[in-house]
Amino acid sequence: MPTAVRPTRIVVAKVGLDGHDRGVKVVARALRDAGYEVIYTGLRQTPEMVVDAALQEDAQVIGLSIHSGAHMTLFPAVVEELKRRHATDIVVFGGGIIPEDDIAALKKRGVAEIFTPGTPLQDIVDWLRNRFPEGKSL
Amino acid sequence: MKVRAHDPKQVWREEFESGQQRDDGIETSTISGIPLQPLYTSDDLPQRAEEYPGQFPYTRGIHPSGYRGRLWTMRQFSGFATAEETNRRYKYLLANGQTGLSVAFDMPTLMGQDSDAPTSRGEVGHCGVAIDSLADMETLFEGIPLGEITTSMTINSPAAILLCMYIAVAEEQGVPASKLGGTLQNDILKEFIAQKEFIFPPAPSMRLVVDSIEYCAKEVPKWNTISISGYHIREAGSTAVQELAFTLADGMAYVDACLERGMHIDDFASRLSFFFDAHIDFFEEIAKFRAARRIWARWMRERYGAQQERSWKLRFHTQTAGVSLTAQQPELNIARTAIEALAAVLGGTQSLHTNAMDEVLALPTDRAARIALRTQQLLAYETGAANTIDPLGGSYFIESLTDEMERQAEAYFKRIDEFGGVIPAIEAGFFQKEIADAAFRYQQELEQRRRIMVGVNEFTVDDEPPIDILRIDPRLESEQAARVEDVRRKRDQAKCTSALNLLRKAAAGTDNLMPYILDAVRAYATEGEIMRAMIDVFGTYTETAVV
Amino acid sequence: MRAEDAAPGVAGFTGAPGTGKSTLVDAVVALLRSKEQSVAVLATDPNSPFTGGAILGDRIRMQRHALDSKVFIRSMGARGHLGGLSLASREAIRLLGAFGFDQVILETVGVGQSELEVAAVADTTVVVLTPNLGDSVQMIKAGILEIADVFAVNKADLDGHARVIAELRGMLNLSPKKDWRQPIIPTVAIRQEGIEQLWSAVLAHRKHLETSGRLMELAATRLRDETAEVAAELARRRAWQALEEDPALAERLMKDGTPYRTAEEILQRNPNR
Repeated sequence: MPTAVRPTRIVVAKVGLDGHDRGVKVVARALRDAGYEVIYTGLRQTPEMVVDAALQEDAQVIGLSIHSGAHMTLFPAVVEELKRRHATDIVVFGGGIIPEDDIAALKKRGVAEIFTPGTPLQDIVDWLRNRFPEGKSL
Repeated sequence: MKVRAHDPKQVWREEFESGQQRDDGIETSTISGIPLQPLYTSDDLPQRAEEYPGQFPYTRGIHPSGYRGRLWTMRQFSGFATAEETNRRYKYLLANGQTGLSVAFDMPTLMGQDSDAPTSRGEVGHCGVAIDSLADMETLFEGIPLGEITTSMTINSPAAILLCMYIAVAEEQGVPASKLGGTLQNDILKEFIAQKEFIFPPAPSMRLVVDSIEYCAKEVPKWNTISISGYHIREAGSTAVQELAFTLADGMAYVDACLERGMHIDDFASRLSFFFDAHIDFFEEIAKFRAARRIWARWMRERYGAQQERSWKLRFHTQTAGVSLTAQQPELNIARTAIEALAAVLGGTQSLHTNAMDEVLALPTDRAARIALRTQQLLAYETGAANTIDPLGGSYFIESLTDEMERQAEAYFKRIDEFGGVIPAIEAGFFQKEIADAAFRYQQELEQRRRIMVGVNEFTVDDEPPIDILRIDPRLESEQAARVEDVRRKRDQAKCTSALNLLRKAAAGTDNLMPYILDAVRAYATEGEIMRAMIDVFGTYTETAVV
Repeated sequence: MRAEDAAPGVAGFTGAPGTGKSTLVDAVVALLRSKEQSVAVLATDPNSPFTGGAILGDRIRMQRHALDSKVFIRSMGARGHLGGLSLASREAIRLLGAFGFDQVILETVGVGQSELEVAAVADTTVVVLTPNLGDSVQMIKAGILEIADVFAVNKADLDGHARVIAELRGMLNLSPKKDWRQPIIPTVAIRQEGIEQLWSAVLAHRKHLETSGRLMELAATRLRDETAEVAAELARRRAWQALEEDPALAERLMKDGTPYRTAEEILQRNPNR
């Protein structure tokens, strides 16, 4: 049955210098299997590049992955850039090597959710489904 | 019960099949998907002449005396933020019995960027030490006699630069390059395949690797010029067989490149070293290490015609699998690491790094780092694992599994050949797709509880007390930025600029670049400036991502 | 927006997976930027027919144009539209024209009937082939020869490219288009080779359309086509909705109805009931 409802569109990116893309690729596939349209923008994305892509792609969500410890600088930078581009309706979530204490701090700074290593993919999908109940294809 | 009087194996099989079987749905294949029999017997033992350690093809080890002759090197990888702090940690570890140094660099350094570059923002000092110039290297090794220890440096695209810095520091200590021992990771092919820390495109990247191998063959003969790595390939999600095959294929690609340069195989082959993962599926790892030695020896002698024994012997460093560690109930990681380390020892590794329990979350604390080191000492001195050479040799299971992995690796070599070699296969996305598929498959197995990660999808705990983790002081970034600015201010700018110009010219030609890089290093050109000079000529590489 | 507003040129690129289409489009974008032209790229990937999801992977092949404000890239899922281009694409093209982009490039994977789709929407259709397609050009689907306005033989540095070009030329000679002789351009997209010639061929075709009056014809046909497509899509949605919401209807269909009769019944119903 052809899709009558627009699938939620998610831009998924690795910000910063590290190249560990195993997790982000696995998540991209899982999101596709759950019915989302996923735009993977690749490695070494700056906050500006990620937001620009999200705007061009009319994405509702941005997923960020980072393993180098620079999340406290780069994730809020993405949130700030969304503010600057008047796109604060875009939801930001993240994953990677992020200690528990930092999660609270990141949420205060506008990151909607952080998924740490070991999170079942289904948890991420469930969270998205809760957030965007209408935007789901068949 | 009906008893067939004559065949005990048949009896066993009947009893096994009619007996209780676990029905928990857990996979009984290896973590890589190799199906395992419930029992191996002499029927499964491959038919071959008896093998001995120190004898071709070295399945049982490259030294006749194994660990009775010399224990493996306990080489804990570490690096923190500043050269000063790292220097302190090195002295701590050396005092506590570590027998070789291993340097972890931060992301900007790994990516050839200075600490004050805009893209280094937020990244300085987080996963290793920031080295911007010779000045930082001098601080890093202050008070450490480079003529008496060996050092492993984990860096790839800018590897030649860091090696030159090491040589320059040794010079200042009065130690000639010919006395220096250590290892440079310098394995750019696996960057394109797995770790993605590439900068230049494949061809100039290979040229730099060959330059460093050629230079060291003459000037730094005790140095292991390259650590051909499977670790990162495995951590990116590959199976054990893929790790084995892709790593050895990379090795052959480097050999081909050096031969093309006109080097003679026996001049450089003995200085090629390897670096493998020690993952949690215990027996598969042991078989993998044994198969690696056998395959490499055969190829070196039979395909490449190497004449000298030392060219046939595969030497490797192992690190326990970072990807097997959990953030949940992290104390369990101590047990995981111990088991993985044991696999490496039973597989005959030459040197070993054991992960600290908190490494899923951050750089290790002193305490966690010490436990990791003590784990190796425990293995070496308490368990008896070092008392017999290749203790699992002759095991029906291990020998059968070793052969199976060798067979599957050879099948991969054929497929890579069909692409025309490693680099065309990289450009076609072959390795990346295999790895991404294997990673996704494993994740699905976890989600379906066909494989278990204790503490993660089974045996979980609801409320976990937070454990102490190491935090990098955010001020470090601005302090390091100030330091590199200081170096730029104080150096002889004319000398520096001239050296960089000469390097740029040489890069556009065919000279070996090592002497030019060494001159730039001595002139206190920063790492970023040296990289920039080469990027001006080589350009940069953007990968075509395969999801 | 009227049919005559064919302001941005629309070039469609289609071809089998593995032909390096995205890389080729990336190279064309680079060329256009060097000529100071603004470009919008609509890249379509198929959605999974089962989950509806998709990994839209074309953008990542055009990294060098990230943050260039004169390059706009939109990845689209085909969304079950068999032709490979979603309905939204045509609307999107019109909008992009309104926003003042000099050139619009469509990119779609050549599966199913997507080549036909692209040809119906683009002024100039470029079909991308490569030497290592495994089999010879004979295996290429019927219809491609008719819809292609320009052929790009990418990865022309590989063995066999001369043969592909020769075979293609042979086939074209046997069934020539009357008024336009389809150029065959060898390219090596990763090295930015042959791109200038490729684009010249596209422009030459566009010129041909203008001078022969075909451009206006095409625009009119397109508008009518699209209307029919939209009508078909609306009808499809109504049919599904009716079948889902009216159990009696579905039951009748299963018991003794035929799809044809049931469909006519649905279409005759007042949708605003």
